Amino acid sequence: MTRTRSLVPALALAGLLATSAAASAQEKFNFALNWFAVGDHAAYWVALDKGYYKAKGLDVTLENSKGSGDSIAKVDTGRADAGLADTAVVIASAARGTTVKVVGMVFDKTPLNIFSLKSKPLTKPKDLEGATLGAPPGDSQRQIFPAFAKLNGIDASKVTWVNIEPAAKIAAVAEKRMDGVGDYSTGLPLYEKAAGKGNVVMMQWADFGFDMYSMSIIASAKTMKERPQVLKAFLEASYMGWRDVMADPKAAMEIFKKRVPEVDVELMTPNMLLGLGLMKTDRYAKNGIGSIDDKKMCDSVELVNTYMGLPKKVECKDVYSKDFYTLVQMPKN
Amino acid sequence: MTKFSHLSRQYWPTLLLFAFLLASWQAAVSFGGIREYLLPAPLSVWSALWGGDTSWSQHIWATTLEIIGAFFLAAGVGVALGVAIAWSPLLANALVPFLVFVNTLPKVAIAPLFLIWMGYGIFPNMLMGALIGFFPVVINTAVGLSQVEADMLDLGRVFSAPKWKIFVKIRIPNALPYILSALKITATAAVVGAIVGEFVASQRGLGYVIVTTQSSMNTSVAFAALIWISAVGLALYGAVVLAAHLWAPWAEGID
Repeated sequence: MTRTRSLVPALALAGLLATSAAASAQEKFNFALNWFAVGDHAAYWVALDKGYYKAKGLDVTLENSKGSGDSIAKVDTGRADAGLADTAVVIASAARGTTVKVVGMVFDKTPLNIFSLKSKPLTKPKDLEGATLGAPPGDSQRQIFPAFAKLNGIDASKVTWVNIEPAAKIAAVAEKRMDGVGDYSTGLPLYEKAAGKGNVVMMQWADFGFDMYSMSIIASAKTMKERPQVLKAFLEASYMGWRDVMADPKAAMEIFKKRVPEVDVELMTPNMLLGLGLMKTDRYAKNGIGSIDDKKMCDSVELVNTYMGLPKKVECKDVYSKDFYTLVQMPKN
Repeated sequence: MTKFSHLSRQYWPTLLLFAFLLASWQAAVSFGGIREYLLPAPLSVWSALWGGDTSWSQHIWATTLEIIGAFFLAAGVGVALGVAIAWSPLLANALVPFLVFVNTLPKVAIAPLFLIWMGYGIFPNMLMGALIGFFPVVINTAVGLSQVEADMLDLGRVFSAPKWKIFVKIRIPNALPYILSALKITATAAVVGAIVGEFVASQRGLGYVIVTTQSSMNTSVAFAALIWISAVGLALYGAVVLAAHLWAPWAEGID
């Protein structure tokens, strides 16, 4: 009897010590990347490797996902605190009950694009009529295509879309099973590897008047409400990672390879550089990496509302927030 | 006791359980605050089943065609291979290890190769379903053809029946219940194979509906597609059970 009685205060003291120790330890933060390792993920690994997160008291874990839909679901259900997702998919998901918001931007120029082969090139929008295009589930090109079609006077009913597994999409177009595939322009090196250099044709939507936000950083309502300072710190450290990638892409790729051994440096380097091209815009140079432009954001929401056949209209102010933004200057090069 | 009251006596516990689960599900979504895209309410799944934006008939037809084609392909090839194995020990030694190897390959990994070799459409998906479903038929056919009662074989020998006659008159009827039993598995496998094929590449079909609506978080339609898939699968399974009842009634109760 005396033994247990003397244990209780000891246990209480231990519990108290443990919680106070935890409070001064790093904040755990789960970041859901949108896919397997691709070039535009390097920045976060750089920030992790160089201790930017640690310096701000964050213990960050980076995990892969199976596309924007997956990362959105992870963040919305609390399995991740923040994540990467395509803006169009985020807006559409808001109509279906998610409460995540865009809190940072990755690409400033749209990477939306259609790849085809030189043997049957799709170079301008009209070429798409009568063509068969492959799109993985949740693919942004597929979902927002009606907007692109309207803008460029294409008869959308004359374009045939085929569902294709992400793992098979490059092979499908390289082996001429389909005329083209919707995929970010940053994917060019991978398509060239399969089809041969010089054999791949791109139809970049940015060249045809299409301007919409794409890859972005999202956070859950819970993170925004309960840990705003943590989120702000995470974003700032991540943008610092981006700054370093822009300043020295080669060193960044080395860190990427070190942290993610399965990265194919030969493919990922051009992939990453193409992505950087989408970020080195005047807007980012002026307002800082990852800044969100209100008008472009609301225009993007309008496009999704009009063309994606959502069950209910999404309000622009409900899907993004600039509250967690910290200015990190683009390097001058 | 009438047939109906006999049936209702047998099935009412299941129906009650089913009704209870449905009610709990609806309650969980309505009052538990579960997000629609994670677990849609039974009512929204129901309304998705019978209309909405999906043109169900073309999708159901495409997938049904694939499943039926896969089933008959698997049955035909499976029985043929089973006969070959039972007929000749040499063929058995040659074929069995190879077939086991093919069967252990994960078909999900092969499906993208099918796309490259054959493109996408009804036929490649039929082939995928057949690939998954043929093996049980091969094994059961071979077993059913070989494991005949010694008395029956002696009977054949007594009448100096040639090998092929013993095969046709004694072995094949003996194998029939085994084959029909395997075909029940094949029915399920044909469904899985057709859907896997559609997941990899497709332009229509119930698997196509699942994969496209799931990614746009239109989960109630995805659930509805699942229900249609089960309906088709159950119908095929029921057809096999009926066939077993008609062609091999003496073997009811073997499995």
